[in-house]
Amino acid sequence: MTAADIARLIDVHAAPLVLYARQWCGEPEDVVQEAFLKLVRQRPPPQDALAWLYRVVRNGALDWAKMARRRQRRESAAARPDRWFIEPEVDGLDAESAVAALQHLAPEQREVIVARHWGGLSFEQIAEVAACSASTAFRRYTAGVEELRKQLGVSCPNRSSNA
Amino acid sequence: MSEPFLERLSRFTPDAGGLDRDALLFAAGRESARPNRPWIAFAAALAVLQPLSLIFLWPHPTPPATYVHVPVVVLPASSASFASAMAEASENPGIWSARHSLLNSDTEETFVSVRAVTFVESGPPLRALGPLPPSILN
Repeated sequence: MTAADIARLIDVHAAPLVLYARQWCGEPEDVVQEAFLKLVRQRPPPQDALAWLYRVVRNGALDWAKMARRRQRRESAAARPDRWFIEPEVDGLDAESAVAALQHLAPEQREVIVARHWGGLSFEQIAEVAACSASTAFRRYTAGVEELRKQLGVSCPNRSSNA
Repeated sequence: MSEPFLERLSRFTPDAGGLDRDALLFAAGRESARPNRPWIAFAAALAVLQPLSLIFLWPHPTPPATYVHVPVVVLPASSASFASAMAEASENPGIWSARHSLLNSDTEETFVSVRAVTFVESGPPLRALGPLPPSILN
């Protein structure tokens, strides 16, 4: 894997990976950085670098969350406020509402939605990352979208198209 | 999946402001350089050998050259044993008598001096293509 490949991966996927890790841990940047360093050290490089990165970030974030639970929760929550998105609002949908809706989702549903929408992963890749089948990943996705719709007060234009 | 609500949601850009891209690239570059262990071991061995060779090859101070006068003893050309050996050899000419007298004498000078004794009578030199001497023909 060349330096250009690494730079391209960072440019395109670092931010979605941070968002993906933010679901579980309070220091997603550190987890993502460590994942990229692991990717560079990996010999030979993984076949699907993107799925590999998501899996490593997921494991790192979950480990971080376990360690944070051991510490006092107030200490870990302190520091800086979490800002999930750069834009304050998009087409009338404000970021706070979107974040609140995402946080309200079940972790496994939120994970699939973030990986699918911002990471651009296929359901097969998500299945590999989340250690489940592709059909399970798809079911989680549709359930998550339905839940998001409820949270954001959006009616479903064509319910059958989601299934 | 192409609902407007999902499209709007996807247009939010994840915030990775806490991630320093340049620092990450720098760290990735450092991590990608694998340590070359044989070269490290070789360089370490050379570093150890350097002072050792300096110690071993350091020029040691040599003592100043001194001239020692060695007395040279000049022995007399003839001695009693040599004279007796020569006397016996003259009485019993031949190689065996000369050898016997030489073995009996234990001085080195005797050996040196006995070289002057003639063991083989000189005669005409043998030549490969020349005529044979009459003593052989007879």
